[in-house]
Amino acid sequence: MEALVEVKNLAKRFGRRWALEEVNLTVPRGVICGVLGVNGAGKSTLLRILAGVQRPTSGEVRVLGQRPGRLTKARVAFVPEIDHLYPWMDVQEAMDFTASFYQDFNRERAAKLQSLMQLEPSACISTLSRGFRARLKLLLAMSRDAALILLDEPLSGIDPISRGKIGDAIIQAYRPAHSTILIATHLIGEIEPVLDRVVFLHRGRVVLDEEAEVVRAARGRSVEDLFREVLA
Amino acid sequence: MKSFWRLYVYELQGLWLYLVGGPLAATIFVLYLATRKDIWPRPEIIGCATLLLYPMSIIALIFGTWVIEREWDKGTAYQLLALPVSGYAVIGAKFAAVCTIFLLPLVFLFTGLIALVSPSGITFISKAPLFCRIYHTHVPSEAIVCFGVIAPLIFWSGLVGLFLRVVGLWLRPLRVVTGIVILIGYSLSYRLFTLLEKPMAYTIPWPGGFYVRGDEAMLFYTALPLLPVVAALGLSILLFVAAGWLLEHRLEV
Repeated sequence: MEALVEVKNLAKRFGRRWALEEVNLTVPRGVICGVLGVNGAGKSTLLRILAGVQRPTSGEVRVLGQRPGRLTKARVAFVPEIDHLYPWMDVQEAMDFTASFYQDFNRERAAKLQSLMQLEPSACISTLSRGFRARLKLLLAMSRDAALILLDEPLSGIDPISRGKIGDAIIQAYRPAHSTILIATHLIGEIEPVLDRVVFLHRGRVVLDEEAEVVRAARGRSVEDLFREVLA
Repeated sequence: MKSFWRLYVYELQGLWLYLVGGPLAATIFVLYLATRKDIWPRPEIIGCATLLLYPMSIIALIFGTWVIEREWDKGTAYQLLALPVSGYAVIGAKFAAVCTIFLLPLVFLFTGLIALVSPSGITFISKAPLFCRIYHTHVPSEAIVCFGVIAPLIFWSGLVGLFLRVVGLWLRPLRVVTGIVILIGYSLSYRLFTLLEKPMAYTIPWPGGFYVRGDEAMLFYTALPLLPVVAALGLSILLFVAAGWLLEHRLEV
C-alpha cells in the first residue's frame, strides 16, 4: 500500500523538554488512524509537524513523498484543537476563504455538511458556541478532497450532540480510496468504531502501532481497554 | 499574485475598523483645525498637523508588529501557516494593508490641510497630470513633505515592525539576544551612513512640486540625494525578503 505519511526518527524539542523522541511511523493511503495518548503525549505536536505549522528538531518527515511545505499544504487539511478561524468572518465567508485558497474544496459537499451540521451561513464565528465552532472547523476540512486530513482532538470539550454530528460528518465525508485521516485524541470510546489503525504515543514515543482489528480480534479487547492497560 | 491579492482583501476586511477609523479621525482633526483657522496663524495650523503626522511613523511601527502578533495571539496563525501560499505573499499582503490603512488618513489630512492653509483653497487645473490636480495649491512644499518624506517613513516603519515581529517569533527563546543584536545593528547603521557621507553628496533631479503659470502646469525639480534613497530601498527589499522567507521556512505556531 502507498505510504502517505513517513516519519523516521522524528524528534521535537521545546526548550529543554522533548515533545517527541525517535518517532517512526508509516501511514498508508485509505485508513483512519487514531493517534492516541494522554495529555502531553506529543499527539498534537506530531500532527502540527505533519501539517507543516511546526518543524522537527531532527529526523525526517515525508507527507505525500515530500517534506511538509507549500506543496503538501495544498493537499493536507488540518484541524487544530484551538479555534484558528478568523472570528470576524461568518460561516459563509469562512467557506469562501477556504475555497479561495484550496482548489480541492468541494462546494457541493460543503453545502451537504452545512445542512447536516445545522450551521447558519450568516452566523458570525465569534458568536458561535464551542460546539458549533468545532462543527465548522470539521466542515471546512471534510469539504476538501484532501489526501491527508489531520484532526487534533476534534471531540474535546464538545457536547454529546455536536460529537454525534462530528462523527457523522467524518463517516459521511470520508472517501477511503482517496484520503487518509489521522485523528489525535484521548477520547477513544467515541472514535473507536471508525478507526482502522491505532498508534499509542506516550511521553513522545510510539509505544504501540497496530491494526485496530488485530487489537480487537487477536488481543480480544477493545482499543480503549488496551489503551488503559498499556498507558496505565 | 492571486494569493497576495486574496490575502490583502481578507487582511483589510479584518482591519475594517482601522480602515474606516483612520480617515474619520483625520476628518475630525481637520474640522477642528477649521474652527481654529481664523484664530491661529497659518504656520501654527501646519505645525499642529505635522505634530500629528510624525507620530504616525511610530504608530505604524507598532501596527506593523501587531498585524503579525495578533495571528499568534488569536490562534489564527494555525490557519495562516497552513495555507499553501508563499511567505512573501503573506508579508506583502500585510505590508500593503498597513500602507493602505496609514495612507488613507494621510491623504484625508493633507487634502484638508491644503484646503485650510491655501489662500485659494483647492483648485483643479485641467492641464495638470491627474495625480497633481488635487494638489495644485500655493503650498507645494507641504505636498513634498507629506508624500516624499512622511508617507515613505510610515511605510518603512510598518515594514520594520513586520520584520521585527517575525524575527521575534522566530527567535522566541533568544529574545534578549535578538534585542541586543538589533540595537548593535541600529548603531552600526549610523556608522555606515557616516561612511557614506561623501558619496551621499551625489544627487539626481526629482519632481519636487508643481508650478502653475496662467493656464500652464509645470513640474519643478529638486535635488534628491541618491545614496540614502537607494540604500533605504535596498534595505526595504532585504527586510521584506527576509521576513517572507522566515515566515514560510522558520516560523511555527
